[in-house]
Amino acid sequence: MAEYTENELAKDLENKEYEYGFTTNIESEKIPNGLNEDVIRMISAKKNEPEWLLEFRLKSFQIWSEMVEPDWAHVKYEKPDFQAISYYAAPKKQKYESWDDVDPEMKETMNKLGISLEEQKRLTGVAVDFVMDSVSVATSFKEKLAELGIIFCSFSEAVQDHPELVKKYLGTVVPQTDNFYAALNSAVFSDGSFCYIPKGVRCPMELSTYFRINEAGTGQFERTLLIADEDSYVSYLEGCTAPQRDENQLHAAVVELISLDGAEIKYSTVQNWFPGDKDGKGGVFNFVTKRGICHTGSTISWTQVETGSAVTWKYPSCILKGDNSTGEFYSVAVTNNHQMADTGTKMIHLGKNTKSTIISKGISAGESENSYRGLVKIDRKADNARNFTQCDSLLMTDRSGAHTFPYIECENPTAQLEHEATTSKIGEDQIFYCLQRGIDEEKAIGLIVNGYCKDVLNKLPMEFAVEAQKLLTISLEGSVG
Amino acid sequence: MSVTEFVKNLQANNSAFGKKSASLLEGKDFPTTRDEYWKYTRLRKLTKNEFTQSGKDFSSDLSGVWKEDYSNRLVIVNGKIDESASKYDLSISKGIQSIEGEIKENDNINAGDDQIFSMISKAYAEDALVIDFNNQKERDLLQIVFVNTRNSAIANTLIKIKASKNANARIICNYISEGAGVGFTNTYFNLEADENSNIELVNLQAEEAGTFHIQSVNGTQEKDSKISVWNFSSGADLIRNNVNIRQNGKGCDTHVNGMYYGEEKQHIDNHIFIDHASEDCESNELFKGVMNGQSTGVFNGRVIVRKDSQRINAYQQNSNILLSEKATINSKPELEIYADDVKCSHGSVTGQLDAKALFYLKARGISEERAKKMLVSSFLEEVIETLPEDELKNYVVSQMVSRIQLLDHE
Repeated sequence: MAEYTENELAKDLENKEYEYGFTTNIESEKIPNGLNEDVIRMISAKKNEPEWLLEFRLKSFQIWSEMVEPDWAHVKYEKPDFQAISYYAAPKKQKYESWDDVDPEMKETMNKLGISLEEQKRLTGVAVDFVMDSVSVATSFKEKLAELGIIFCSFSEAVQDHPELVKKYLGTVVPQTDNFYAALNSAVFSDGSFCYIPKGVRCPMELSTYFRINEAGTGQFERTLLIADEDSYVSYLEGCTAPQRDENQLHAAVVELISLDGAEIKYSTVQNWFPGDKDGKGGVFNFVTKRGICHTGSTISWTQVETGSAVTWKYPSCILKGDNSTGEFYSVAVTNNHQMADTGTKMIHLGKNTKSTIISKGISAGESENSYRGLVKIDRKADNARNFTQCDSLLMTDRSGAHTFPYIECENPTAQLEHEATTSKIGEDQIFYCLQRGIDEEKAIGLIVNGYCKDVLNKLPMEFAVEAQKLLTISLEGSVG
Repeated sequence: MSVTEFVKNLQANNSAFGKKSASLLEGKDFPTTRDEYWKYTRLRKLTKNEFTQSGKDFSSDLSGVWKEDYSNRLVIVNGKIDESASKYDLSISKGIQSIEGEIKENDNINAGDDQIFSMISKAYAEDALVIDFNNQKERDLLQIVFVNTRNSAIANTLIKIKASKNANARIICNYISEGAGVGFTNTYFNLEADENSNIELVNLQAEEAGTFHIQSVNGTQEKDSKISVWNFSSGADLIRNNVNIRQNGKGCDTHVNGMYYGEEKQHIDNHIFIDHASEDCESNELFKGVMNGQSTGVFNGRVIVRKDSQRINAYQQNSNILLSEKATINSKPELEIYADDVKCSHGSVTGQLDAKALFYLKARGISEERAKKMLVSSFLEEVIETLPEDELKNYVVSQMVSRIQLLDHE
């Protein structure tokens, strides 16, 4: 091996700071900490919500109050005090008439995030819905999309402008009773994105939302509802960052996808919430419920690159309800220092001739714990179902952990299920091969890791793939066991 | 359902660990499908029955069961040793008192497993065996036949197997039943493999429908030792095998293999736990199952590689064939790894008989029934092939064929 010792590598790795750890000094309106019915009424009133939505929230709160926080995941953390969180924080100045009105500091935030709207408007044609803390601040390209009948707006706008769609689909994929955090989100969600693609429309651009937790002591509870009507297509991107803070911030989102007959939804996430510092202090708790339902002949494809968060608890899932529907899950999860991730997917085959593919790549460095947890369920009636699962883990240090907990449940004899998993470290022979050809160790590791993740990175839209590769390098530079 | 209710007719034994186990069970409920390690196994059909400790009279003819070349034979009827039918020249201590000090009331290797059944076994066992294998020169062969006479009989047995340094033991356990009504066999094994020793335990679970079988095997291994466990399971209404092995020394090797066949409403569950607590070790698991009728098969393989247990190779493979529309298989191969220089993998596949292969055979004039038999046999043969000797392989097939009719046997 090279002279570069393991200790030096570990040191390098620890010193890699979180480059998105800045805060933005924007005056924001924050309601007092705590959670009770009055707080929910206040959130609902602030957003001028209709009565049925307030009732939805209050019922969720009641359900949540009776639930116990789950502890089955392979993660250890101090449970958040739900009464010490402010459930609503909004930048004070809201609703900008034009791009010029937008607070320069906020523009700066976006620039640092590398999602300058102006540039994106000009160069990429990506429509961005930017959610800072809980309120969506700017949505671009709305008009262009409106021409095609596509609705892409913040969740609160959708509640005002398209209440019938929201009412019809809200909570249909992730019911209020689903789990502790979904119930919490259903009670207190402050904003999020809403998207509707009409029948037969192929969305001409990639829709993108960027989430950021800015205010100290706030939780982000956004709600995303995406409906692809019959034979439509949409590719949706979601990115997340948070400033560097000592305390743990809570993020409990709910994402619901509805893919109607023949539709296709591609949902990509690059999640880079603040993972905590090298001693495991601070960082975001990411407890997210993401699920989509596939009707006849439709497809939902989840792609995620997870490099952030102190604790991740996330299982983007597909309910393959319609015949001939397809679910896909491609994931790269990187954990470093003291991060803990328990992530995976559920593929629930209910319809006939349903197919699903799961490719999961976990990379553990530092003293982190990285788990894949997945369910493949073939219902009694799901004839000719097909699943292929591959979950690989790569261990970078001897202090990290990589775990696999797959659940395979099959009730139909015509199903064909394959599951394979491997765990290993980067081969010394692979590094030796690169070194021999004049590639230094750092680069060699980058090369090997990128190759290892290629199956997943290939599934990402172009601009995300570049970002994801950068993130992988940031997260892993200098780490090899 | 409470354990106290279930054991109300049973007489606890007099040992210290027995009393302690009984007290640990007080107020406990049986695990439900809400418990992770019993997620797929409903115990209701076992626990709703009332069982009683029964005598050791039996009528089965064991001549077809005995393996001729095994000079050491033990017969255990409803949990009690039948001296008249047994013969051996091994160092064996018998009776509950013999095992006092050899096992603890709670020797849990697998933290996830609540071990309620091994505690029941410890509290209510009427007999126990401590078998010392200390022959340095050649392999000791032992056959144990467990008879359950049903009619509500419960058979709790405690067996400790000690292999001293360099010893070599092969144990075949046959489980059979006779009579009518329900019967419950609940055996507890404790294996202790000393340095460079080798323990092979072959379980042939071939009881009849109407019986229940729960078996707990807890094993610990020292440097360079080897433990191999085979579970061949079919017949009983409910079978649950817990095999928990911990490798304490360098260079250990562990093999746990199994074959299961279910029909009607049978339920067969294998929970395997291997704890790599030392470095330079290996483990291998191969489980293959065929589910017919409305039967359910469960495989849960869990491998832990502890921190600093470097250079571990661990493999798990679970393959299943579903033969009928109402059969179910649940497979959960888990890996928990805390060391980096390891090679661990698992695979799980579920499917049906290959339609092309079936067609190929039928096109050559082989009846569908015969063709199915050929395909199922060849599928299961991989597990039989892991047995050490041809003669043993043939013996295992001959014993299991009464329960697995799809097994080819010439």
